[in-house]
Amino acid sequence: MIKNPERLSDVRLACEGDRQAFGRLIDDYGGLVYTLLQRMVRDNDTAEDLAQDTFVKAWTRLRSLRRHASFPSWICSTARRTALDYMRTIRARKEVSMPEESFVDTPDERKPELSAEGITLLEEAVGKLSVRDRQLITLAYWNELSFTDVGRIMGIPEPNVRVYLHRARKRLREHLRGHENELLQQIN
Amino acid sequence: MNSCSRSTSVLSYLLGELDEDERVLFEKHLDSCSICSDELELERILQSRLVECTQPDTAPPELRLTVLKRTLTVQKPRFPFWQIAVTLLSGTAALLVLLQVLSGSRLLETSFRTLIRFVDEIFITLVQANSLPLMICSGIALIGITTTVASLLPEE
Repeated sequence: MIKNPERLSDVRLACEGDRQAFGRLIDDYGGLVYTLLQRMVRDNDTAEDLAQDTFVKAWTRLRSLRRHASFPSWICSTARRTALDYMRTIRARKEVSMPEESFVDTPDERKPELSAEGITLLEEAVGKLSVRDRQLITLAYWNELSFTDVGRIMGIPEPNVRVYLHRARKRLREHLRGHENELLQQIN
Repeated sequence: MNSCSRSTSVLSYLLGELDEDERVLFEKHLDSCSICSDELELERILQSRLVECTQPDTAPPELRLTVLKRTLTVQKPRFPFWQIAVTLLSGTAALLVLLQVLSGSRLLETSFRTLIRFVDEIFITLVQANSLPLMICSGIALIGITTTVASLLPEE
């Protein structure tokens, strides 16, 4: 939920057709949308294309946004549907293997500050999770979204968000088994 | 490797899923069990690392420009069709009720016929546009408005 009055005003102006305000929303939420898409499709170029498609789609559908404060969850939901459509198309064409099956890590050039060993270890483990678990972890730990928002984006009830998150965390631990000491050394 | 049968509750404890009694009991257990307290420490580290590594990246630098360029070729944000249709139909129905009150049933009958023709036109356009969901919505609206307005007509 948006609490910042300036951002709320940008959403309202964008709904009325103000491109500059919409541009500011792209600046504010482009990173989140791109990250969510990148985690889903595991490819930087595709994530960038899909982020563009998401915002263009959002521009034409802004009037259907009932509550301006819900813009973050609405845009994430649009991004998620865009990615799922893309993945369905790819699956139908069988041009590439599905991301759920492909755990090949794509190095992310945009995050040089996160190259510490522990983060890499963790990112690798997150990369081994299913698409749904990756989306859940990305959204659940982002401060601006509540569990209700996450549930809305993923199309699941809020109590299930907790259950799925719990399971995702357990699976993550399974992927990290044997590397606990490295993680502990990180903090000391 | 050492293990504790209660270590499965560590994550539930951390995620705030235990009820008050369970939480108190588990906290007591934590004081005496080094396996569970180590596990909790590890889960806490993992959680803080997750928060750190799942924060959004910065948007690709050219995203704003590219999107804004692309929006020039698409329509401005507009009201969805169903909102326009519902508003239009409710407005017309309200007007018809008002007309009935003001001018008697003759005018209402004429207006009703005009309205039916108008809705019919929309329906035909949608059939031609081959939009099934909109056709269904329009069909339902047509039936709804017909029933509502027909019930307002005076009995012979």
